[in-house]
Amino acid sequence: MTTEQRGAEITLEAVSKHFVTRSGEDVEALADISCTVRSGEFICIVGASGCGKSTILRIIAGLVQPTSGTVTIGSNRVTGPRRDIGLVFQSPVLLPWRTVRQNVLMPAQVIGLPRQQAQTRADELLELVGLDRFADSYPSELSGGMRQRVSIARSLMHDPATLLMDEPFGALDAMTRDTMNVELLRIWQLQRKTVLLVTHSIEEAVFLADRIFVISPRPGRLLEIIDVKLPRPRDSETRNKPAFIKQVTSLREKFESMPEQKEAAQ
Amino acid sequence: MSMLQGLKRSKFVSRFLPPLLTGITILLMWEFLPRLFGISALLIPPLSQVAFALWNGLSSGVIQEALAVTLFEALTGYVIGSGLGIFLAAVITRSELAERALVPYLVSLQSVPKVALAPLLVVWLGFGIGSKIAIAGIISFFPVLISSIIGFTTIESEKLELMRSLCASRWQTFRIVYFPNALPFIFAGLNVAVVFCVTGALVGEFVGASKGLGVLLMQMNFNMDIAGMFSVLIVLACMGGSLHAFVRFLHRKLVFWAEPEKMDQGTP
Repeated sequence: MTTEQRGAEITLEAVSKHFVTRSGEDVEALADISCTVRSGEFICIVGASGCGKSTILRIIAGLVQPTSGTVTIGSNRVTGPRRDIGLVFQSPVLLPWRTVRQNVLMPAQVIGLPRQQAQTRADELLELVGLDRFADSYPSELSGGMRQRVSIARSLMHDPATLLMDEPFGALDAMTRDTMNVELLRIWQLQRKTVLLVTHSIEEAVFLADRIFVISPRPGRLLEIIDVKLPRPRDSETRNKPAFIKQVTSLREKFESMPEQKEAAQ
Repeated sequence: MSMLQGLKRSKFVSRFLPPLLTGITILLMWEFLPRLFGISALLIPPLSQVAFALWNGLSSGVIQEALAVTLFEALTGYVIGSGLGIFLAAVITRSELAERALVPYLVSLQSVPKVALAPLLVVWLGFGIGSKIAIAGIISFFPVLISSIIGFTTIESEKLELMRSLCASRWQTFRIVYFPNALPFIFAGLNVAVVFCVTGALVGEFVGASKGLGVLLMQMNFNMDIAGMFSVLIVLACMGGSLHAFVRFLHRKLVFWAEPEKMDQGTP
């Protein structure tokens, strides 16, 4: 894959989001979030459930409009959905009536990429996520981890500059999750996208991220930005290194000192 | 090896023997019980008479001719009615305006017994096949409409978000996600409607027609040809069974990917 698009720089300026609940209550989900994500950077967003982490991703993707504030990707202001973004959800969201290859090809079909070129790219991506042997299988024939790999391959299909991942491994068992983390870093090292990944696992965040954004619950505020000082490339060995354990411990202590964050530190 | 064969045979025995035995018992009872209890062959003709009547009907071609008419009416009505049901469900779930304008009427119409329209339709469309197709169509329309509406609205919100994030057009979203996603539900309606459509065609023929299995049944009834009536009932049962089997075959072919519990949803 030689024509990779470089990761985009993303800027959030004073982004706030209010929701009106069914009972008519006004809920402040996000308050005054400002930050800059550098091109090709891997960011993990950590916080308790219900702190609006997912809303941040949806606002960046243009799927949800912020109540106030602006989001800029590259040099363009985000006003709606845009095709230079790849989305990965907690569930794989595959189309069960399509084979693995057809699922990966779906974005190309929507965007209208040339067929031949798309086929080649789909096969390359399936090889990248280690599923080339399963190209003609149906999602129901795959394990949970394999399905999520398909969804990652699909998110890369149209070569987006940014990858937004909403707890992509949250539904997987701990062992599969560790493997997928290593896999994701390997893929990211080959395709330098800007990645924003939402998680509530501190280990996962420390293992993956260049920087960790810590979000407070209700309203979601950017409490702290933590630099992860671990050398790359990282692999499964990294988790045994004292530096990794020290980072995880100090981050966990930080969470535990914030009473309302306890939930996330588990 | 012989053990494996024995195992296979025992599986065959446990699977097919019970229904086979039930069938043989029923047929034997049918043949001999009426005689045993002295019930007149005029009321319950023994199996042999029914078989003879069926043979007569088939060899003279009377049954085939009537079957062709009824089958054509039922199937044409089925295709038109369920096609319209799927189309209208898609329109209603796509457009809020259409939903507000149409749904109250469709819901209230749904509670009207459709066969009650048969006399009216025969007056309007005549004694030919048109009125029967109309009744079969109307009776097929509603179950397909209702289950398709459910199908087009039961969808994972992430699938739609994914399509939105790719800036997919409404038509692309419908074609790639909504329609295949609704297929298990659509087929639940189609499975019900395929049984209904035969009823519709028959009722239409009862009300007024010159050809068809319903007409044949009425004529035999008039002549007190009970054995003949049973032979027509057997033909109707086979026809209904084959139609249902065909739709279930399509169902399994096209919706092979659905979880089993979804596959059987709403199927009688």
